[in-house]
Amino acid sequence: MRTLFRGFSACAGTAVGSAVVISRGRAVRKTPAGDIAAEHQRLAEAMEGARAELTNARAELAGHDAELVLNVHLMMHGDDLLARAIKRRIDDEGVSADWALRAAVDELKSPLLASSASYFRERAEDIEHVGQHILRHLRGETLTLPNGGNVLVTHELSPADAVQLLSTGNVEGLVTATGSARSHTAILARAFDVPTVVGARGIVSAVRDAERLIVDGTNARVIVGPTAREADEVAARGARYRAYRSSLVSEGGDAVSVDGVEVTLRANVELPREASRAVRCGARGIGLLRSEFLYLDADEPPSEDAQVAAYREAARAVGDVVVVRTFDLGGDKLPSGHRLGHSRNPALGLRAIRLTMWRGSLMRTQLRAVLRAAHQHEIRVLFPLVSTVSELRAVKVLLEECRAELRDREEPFGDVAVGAMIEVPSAALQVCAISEEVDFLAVGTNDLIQYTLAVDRSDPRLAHLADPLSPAILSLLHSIRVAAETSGRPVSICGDVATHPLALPLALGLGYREFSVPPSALVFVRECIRRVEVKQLAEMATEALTLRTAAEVKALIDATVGDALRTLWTEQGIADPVSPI
Amino acid sequence: MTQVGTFTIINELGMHARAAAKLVKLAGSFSSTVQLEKEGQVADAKSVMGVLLLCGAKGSSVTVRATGEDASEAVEKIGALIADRFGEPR
Repeated sequence: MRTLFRGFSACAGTAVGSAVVISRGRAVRKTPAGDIAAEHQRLAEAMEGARAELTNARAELAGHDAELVLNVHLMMHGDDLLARAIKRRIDDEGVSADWALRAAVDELKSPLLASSASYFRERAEDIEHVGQHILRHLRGETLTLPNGGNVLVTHELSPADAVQLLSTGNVEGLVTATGSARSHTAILARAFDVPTVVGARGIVSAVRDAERLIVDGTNARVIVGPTAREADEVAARGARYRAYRSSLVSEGGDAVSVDGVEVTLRANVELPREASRAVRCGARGIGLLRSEFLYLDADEPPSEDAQVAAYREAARAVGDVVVVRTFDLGGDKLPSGHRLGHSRNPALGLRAIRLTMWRGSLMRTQLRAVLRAAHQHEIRVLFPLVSTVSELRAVKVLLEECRAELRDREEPFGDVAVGAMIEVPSAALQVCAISEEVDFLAVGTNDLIQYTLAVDRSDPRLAHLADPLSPAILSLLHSIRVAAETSGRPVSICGDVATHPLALPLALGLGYREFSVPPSALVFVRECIRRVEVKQLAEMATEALTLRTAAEVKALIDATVGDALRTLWTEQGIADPVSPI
Repeated sequence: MTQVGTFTIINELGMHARAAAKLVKLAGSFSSTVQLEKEGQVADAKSVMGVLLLCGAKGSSVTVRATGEDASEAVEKIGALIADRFGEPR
């Protein structure tokens, strides 16, 4: 029988497959320990095994948000309190390690469950995950999946289990009964780009193993026992997506419009594992390497050698240009272990190039690493949050000093093109002068919108004001493009504008020919470009620049490209192109 | 020697998982033994579960008790971390 479940979208996309139901908990019976010493040995081995698995999982996610989750779990695994509580039970009660673990976990959870703050009650789940993980090792169970076509259905996955299962590439979709878009499972699902619906209440008991179901992450729903037609449609969509993606690899990454205009697509990359996905999706190199992934949650800044290795690895993985954006730290992205002092207004405070120039050694180390990595690879360096010409001049002096240092050390290094992010209104207004200082420009539309429209992008109540299609933003995008052309400097867009169904055609019309987008958006952006006529978009852009409200701009774009792009929007599950994907 | 200091948790989520992890890491950097006490419940400040289990929500008052050579530094630094809202943005 066909049943519909609703939940929250954790990762967009649609998948059809057969259910693999993982029900909660493994029942544990109270059994006496045959041999106390042997139980201690089993426990030590299981804790060791679980820790090793978690350490691997953490390496897989280096730099990602989810790494922090795994860090906490790792600390819990190594926590004396837990180990002591289990050992004490084995000794005092003479029970098996399994039972001692179960009882210790329950005891540790109880004060959290009794807390009035929901946050602490949720943390009981973390302790449960840690316990279940050790229990799995105690019993020598491994997580295995049938080959292909699996949709996991479960209450909630522990981070360790999630990494273990999702990294097999054997999971088409994921549904959990609990959790929210902010939960660990959701973060991991996005990192592995697996269509996921979380918080689908009642799903676990309603689905049998091997039952067919559809996970529609785009519209936050799950269809158990879909009609043959529904299942075929979803399967066909998935097959088209995969076929299209593999054709990209052979064709190369350029996107060409109906009237033959070539556009260069690169990828924004944070996690190392994303680089290879970017290549599979046809990216021509990395247009934005968020280098702070090396830094977050580390107590010390990454060493020069560690950075050189990371940049080389990225260049090897993509076999093309890598644009390293220098650490974009501070503001809402604070590194751990660093006291930066308080800022009343972090968005306007000591962040990005301001922070790395203030802590000059941060900038120097990174510049030397970039220069050295450029010895055998095409590496460019991009400075975030530039707001004045003087800042650029200062950083160029530093770059020259770094070259001299490397020469003294007789360390080989290569040429590095220098770029400025245009994401502060002052830089946008002075873009002619700035472009003369650098080799290339990159427009960071997210910050440019936030600063120009004076809207905090994290406040949902203000979302309607943070409109990428507002005439003020169009005007800036237009003048940046003109200035770049006048000074002969290439310019790219690397914010959400490049993936917005309506803003992308407009940017093409304004003359932008280079975009850097998340790997998961590459296919969509490329397909948009292949369906539009740039000459027509240029006329549309000229008219758009005369309009006075974002609503008028949207109506114009919709009227111009709606016919060409509507199927694509529907295919991608974008019901309302006015809101971004 | 023993040093004692009492601090109020002021960050939104209290001594949540990530904050607890930071505190434990910091406490672990001292040779002194460090204990936290909240409403009569005592926890080893070098155990992440112990710290978490105190359920130190926003507004609760926590006493840091350190014994050892670097006790005063331990109390001072842990107090500063709590006052800094565990490094979270406001």
